[in-house]
Amino acid sequence: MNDFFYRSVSSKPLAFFRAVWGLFLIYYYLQIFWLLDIYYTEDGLRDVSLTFSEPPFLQWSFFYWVDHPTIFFYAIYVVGLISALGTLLGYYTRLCSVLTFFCFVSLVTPAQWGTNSADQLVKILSFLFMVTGIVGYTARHYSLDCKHRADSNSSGSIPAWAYRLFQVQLCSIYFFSATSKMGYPVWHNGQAMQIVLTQTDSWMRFDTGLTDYPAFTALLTTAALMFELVLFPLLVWFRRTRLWILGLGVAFHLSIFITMKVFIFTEVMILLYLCFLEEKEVEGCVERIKGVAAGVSAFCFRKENQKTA
Amino acid sequence: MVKEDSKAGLRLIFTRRNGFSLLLVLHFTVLLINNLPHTAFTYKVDGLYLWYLNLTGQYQNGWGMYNNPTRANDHFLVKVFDLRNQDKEYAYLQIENPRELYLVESVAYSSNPLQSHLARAYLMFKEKDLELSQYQRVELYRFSSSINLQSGNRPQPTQVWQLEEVKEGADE
Repeated sequence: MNDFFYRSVSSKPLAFFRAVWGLFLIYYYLQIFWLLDIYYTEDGLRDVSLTFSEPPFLQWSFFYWVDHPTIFFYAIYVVGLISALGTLLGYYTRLCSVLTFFCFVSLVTPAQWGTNSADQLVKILSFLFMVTGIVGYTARHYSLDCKHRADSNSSGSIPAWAYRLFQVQLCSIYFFSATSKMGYPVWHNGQAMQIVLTQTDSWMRFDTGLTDYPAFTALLTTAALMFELVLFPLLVWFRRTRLWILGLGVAFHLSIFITMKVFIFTEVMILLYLCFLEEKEVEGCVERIKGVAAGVSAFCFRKENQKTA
Repeated sequence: MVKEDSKAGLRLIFTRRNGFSLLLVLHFTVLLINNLPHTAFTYKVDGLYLWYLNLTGQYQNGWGMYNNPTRANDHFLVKVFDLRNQDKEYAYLQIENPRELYLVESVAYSSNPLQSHLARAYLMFKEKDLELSQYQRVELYRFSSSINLQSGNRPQPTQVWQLEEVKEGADE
């Protein structure tokens, strides 16, 4: 257990994860604005939510404590966006991680309709990033904070528990999702995927034509179940299989995204995969991003020169 | 002569690291119990840990996407029409945004009076979103069929939701 929690590991992957998390939050806030606006307008759905159901014991939101939510909504939304930007840049990271948690929980908790377990996962991530952010593990690289700190070079390693919080959470999502599915007959008899693929008027983006092949859809049903139950939660922990299983997972979620109308789930799951990356892989990613950025700026510079010429 | 430290053993156990390890183990245990199927055991221990999950926004009520896929093949459309010429000028708009579709689905699967509140909130949003003129109105349509893998889909009755109140000056 000592090794599992306290082995010294590089803080670079967590810092990279934090930066992408900040970027994801900005994207998330921009995407969900219209729904939150429905909730926090005068006589909006927040009031309906409070009328029809009591918030569960100790579940909280700033919007449960105020009578006129509209002005506060815009204020908290803007603070949420700014703290997401701060998280991306690694600027006042500790403060931003706390603000992100407060704003996110406040905004999303009363939103009972139009949100699902993917939003719940984002809420959980905001808490985990707050914990790892407060102890100062998320901003040791790729941040403005570390540029301001003189001893930034001496703080390259952190205990592994900072990663384990995210990793165990990810594996538990797959594992318990699969065990839950196993309780339903459609997953036993292999019809689950066929039913999903038949929802062509609602949740499918297009008709894949696969419903005519029940043997294949039954295989897909079993494969999806096996991936969630065994493949991912087990093989992701081994050095040799880790990258393969992460790649398979990305393909799995992208295929869901391409064929089905899901919101945020694909993005947040792939984001969560970053907690399994190692230092060299992150450095490779950063080099590529820098390469692309340099290419884009060189292209823009050339265009600009052509115009002036 | 070396003095024997009687508290050395205790000091070894009650370290900061061990205390933190205990917190981590508790966190993961709570995660496990919260994700277990509801049984008499989980019901018994709910009170011990739910406060922690709820306060920290970590409550996990099942990762159940497509646990039991619905056999309804719903097709939701938004009808836009003009009050001055209701029979002729109208358009049906697809709901492309998945989150919007999810919200609209919760309208259909709620019972009244909650259903009316949700439908009203959605239609008011849609009117604003589409930037309609004062004479234009929207209605939400649900065309549905139930999925039957053996004998094909069976059509279900169509449902319509509309805003009841009429804006001032619109009834000319």
